[in-house]
Amino acid sequence: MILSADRIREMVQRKPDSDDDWFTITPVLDWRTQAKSGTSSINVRLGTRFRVPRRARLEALDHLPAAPAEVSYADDVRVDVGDYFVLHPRQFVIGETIEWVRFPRNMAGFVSGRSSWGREGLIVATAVVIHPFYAGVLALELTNLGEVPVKLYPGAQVAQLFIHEVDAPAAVQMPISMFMASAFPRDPDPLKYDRHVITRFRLDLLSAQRQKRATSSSI
Amino acid sequence: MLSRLREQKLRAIEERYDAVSATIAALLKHPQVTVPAAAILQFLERSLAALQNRIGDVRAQAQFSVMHDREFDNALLRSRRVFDKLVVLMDHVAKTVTFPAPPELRESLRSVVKGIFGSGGELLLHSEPGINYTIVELRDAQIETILEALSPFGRVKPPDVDRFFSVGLPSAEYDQALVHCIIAHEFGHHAWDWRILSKFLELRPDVEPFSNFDNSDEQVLGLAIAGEWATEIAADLFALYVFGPAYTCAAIHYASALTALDEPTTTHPPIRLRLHVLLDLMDEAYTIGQNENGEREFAYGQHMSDFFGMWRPTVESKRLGVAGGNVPKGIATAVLDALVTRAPRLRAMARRLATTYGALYDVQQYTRDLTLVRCIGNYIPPVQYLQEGNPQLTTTAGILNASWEYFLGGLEEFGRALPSELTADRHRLSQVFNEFVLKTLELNGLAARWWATRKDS
Repeated sequence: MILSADRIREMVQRKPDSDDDWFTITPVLDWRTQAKSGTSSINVRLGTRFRVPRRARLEALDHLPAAPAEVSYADDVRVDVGDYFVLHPRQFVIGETIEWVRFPRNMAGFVSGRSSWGREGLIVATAVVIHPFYAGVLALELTNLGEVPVKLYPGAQVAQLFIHEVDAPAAVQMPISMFMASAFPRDPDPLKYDRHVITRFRLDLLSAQRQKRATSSSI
Repeated sequence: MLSRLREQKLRAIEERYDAVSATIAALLKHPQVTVPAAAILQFLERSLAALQNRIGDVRAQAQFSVMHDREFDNALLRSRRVFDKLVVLMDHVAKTVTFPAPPELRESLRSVVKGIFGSGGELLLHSEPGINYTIVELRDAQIETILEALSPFGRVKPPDVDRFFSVGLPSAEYDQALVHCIIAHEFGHHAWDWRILSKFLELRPDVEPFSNFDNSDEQVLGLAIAGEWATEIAADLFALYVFGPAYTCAAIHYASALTALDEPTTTHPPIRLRLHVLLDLMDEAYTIGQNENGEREFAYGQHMSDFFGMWRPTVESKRLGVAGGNVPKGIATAVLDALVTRAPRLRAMARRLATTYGALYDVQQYTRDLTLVRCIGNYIPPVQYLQEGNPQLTTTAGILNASWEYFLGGLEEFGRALPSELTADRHRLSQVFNEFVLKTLELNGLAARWWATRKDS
C-alpha cells in the first residue's frame, strides 16, 4: 500500500518506538508544498552537488576486470542555493537530494520525476528503488532529453518519493547498505555478483575466436 | 607636459592598479566566492577606484600646474601606502579560493560568528599552512586603516559589517569537523577586552609575584608572558561557552597529539595549565546535582564523562609545572603560580562575559543535544531534534556535541552496516564518520538559511 502524504508526514514527525522502526526524511524545508494533503508522495529537492562525467579520460566504462583502471571519470561540482547548474541536451549527470532519508525495516520506496520537469525533457531518476533500512541522500540520475539546455536550481522540487509498506519486513539485522555519507555512492560495482560468470563466458568467447583464427590461417 | 620620469612613475602605478583591478574582477566572478567575500571585493573595488581617481588628479595636477618633485613623490607615496593594504585585504579573499575550506563548514561556522557577535559578524574561511588556527579581524586591522588612509581622497563606503573575521584552518586538518571546535578559541581572543582582563587579574608590577622579581627586565618579561597566557586561558573559557564540552574534547584531542603537556612558550601556557582551568570551569557549569555519597553529578553523556574522568587526574593542580619551552624556568614557574592563584577570578570573569554575549551554549542545550546521539547511531544526521509536531533545528554546537559524544564511544557500531571496504581500517571509518558530520552541518546550515530567507521574503 502506498502511503499518503499526510501519513508520511505523520510518520516522520512521530517519535519511533524502536530504532528498527525509525523512518525519517530530514530536513523537509516546507511540508506544505512538498507533501500536499491528498497526494500520495512527497516532493524531494535537488541538492547542491553534481557529479559530471568526463568524456576525455576514459575510452569506456568497463566493470568486468576485477580491478578497473584507476582513472577518475567524473568531476564533482558544487552549486550553492541561489546559483544554478546548466544541463545541456543529452548530458548526463548525477545529482543528489537535499533530503536525507532513513527507511525502517518495513518500508520501501521509489523515486520518480515530476511531470512539470519531464515535459521540459528532464529525466530525473533511473535507479529508483529504495530498500528497507536504506540511509542516505537519494542519488538522482539526471538527463536532459529535451532540445534546449535546462537550468537546475538547488532547492527546486525535481522529484517525488513514493513510500509503501513491505509485507514481509526485512530481518532486524541491518543489511550492508550503500550508505552515502558523502552524498554520492562510492564507486558502484554493477557486476559484483555476476563477474565470475560473465568472465567465464568472455574467456570462452575469446578462446573460440582464437581457435577460429588459427583454423582459418591454417587453411 | 609631464617629464618622462614622472610619466613612467605614474604608468608603473597605474599598471599595478590595473592588475589588482583585474584580479578583483576575476575573484568576483569565481564560483567559490562567498557572499561575505564578495562584500570585501566590492569594498576593494570602491577603494581602488578612489585611488585611481587620485592618481588621475595627480597626473592632471602635474600636467597642468606647477608641482614640485617632492610634492609629486609625496602624493604617489600616500597612494602606495593605501595600495599595500588593499592587496593584503584582497589576499584574505583570494585565500578562500586558492586554499578553500570545506563548503559544508562555511554556513555553520558563519552562524556561530553571528550567534556570538550578532548579525554584523561575518566570516571568511580558508585553510592555512601549518598546524595552527589563525584569525584576523579585518574590520579593525584592515578596513578601518584603509578608510582612514583614503579619507583625504574622498569617502569610500565600507562593507556593512561590524566584525569581519578571516579564519585559517590548519591545512592537514582542513576538513575535520570535530577538531574545528577549536575555532571558538580564536573567537575568544576577540571577545575579551584585554585591558579589563589585565586589570581584574591584577597583572601589575607592584603585585605578587611580579613585585618579587629581582630586576626590571624579568618583571617586564614576566608581566608580558602572564598577559599572553591569561589571554589564551580566557579564550579557552570563552570557547567553552560557545561549543560546550565539545570544545574541551577537541582541545584535549588536538593539543595532546601535538604538544608536550608542560612545555610553555612566551605566547602559550603549558597545555596542562589550560586544561586544568578549563575542566574546572566546565565541571562547575555542567554540575547538575550530587549523588548520595556527596559527589558531584555531571550532565555529560556517558562517553564524554569517561573521557573527562580519564583526563582529570592528569590536569589536577598538584601536577602543574613547567618543563622545556623557550621561557626561563623561574619566570615560567612564577607566572604559572600567579595564574593558578587567579584562576577563580578568571572563571568568574568568564561567567560574567558569557552573559553579555547572546546565544551562547549552556547545560540545558547540551542536555537536549545528547538526545541527538541516538540519531547518529541510526545513520540519521542530527539536523533536527526528535520531538512531536514541528521539528526544530539543531545548532552547530549541538551537532558537534552529539557527534563528539558518539565519536568518543568508538565507531565500531557506526561501521556495523557499512560496506567492509569502509571499515577495514580505522582511518577510513573515521573519515566516513567525519563526512557524515560535515553532511549534517551542511544540511543544518542549508535549512537554517532557507527558513530565514523564507521568513524575510
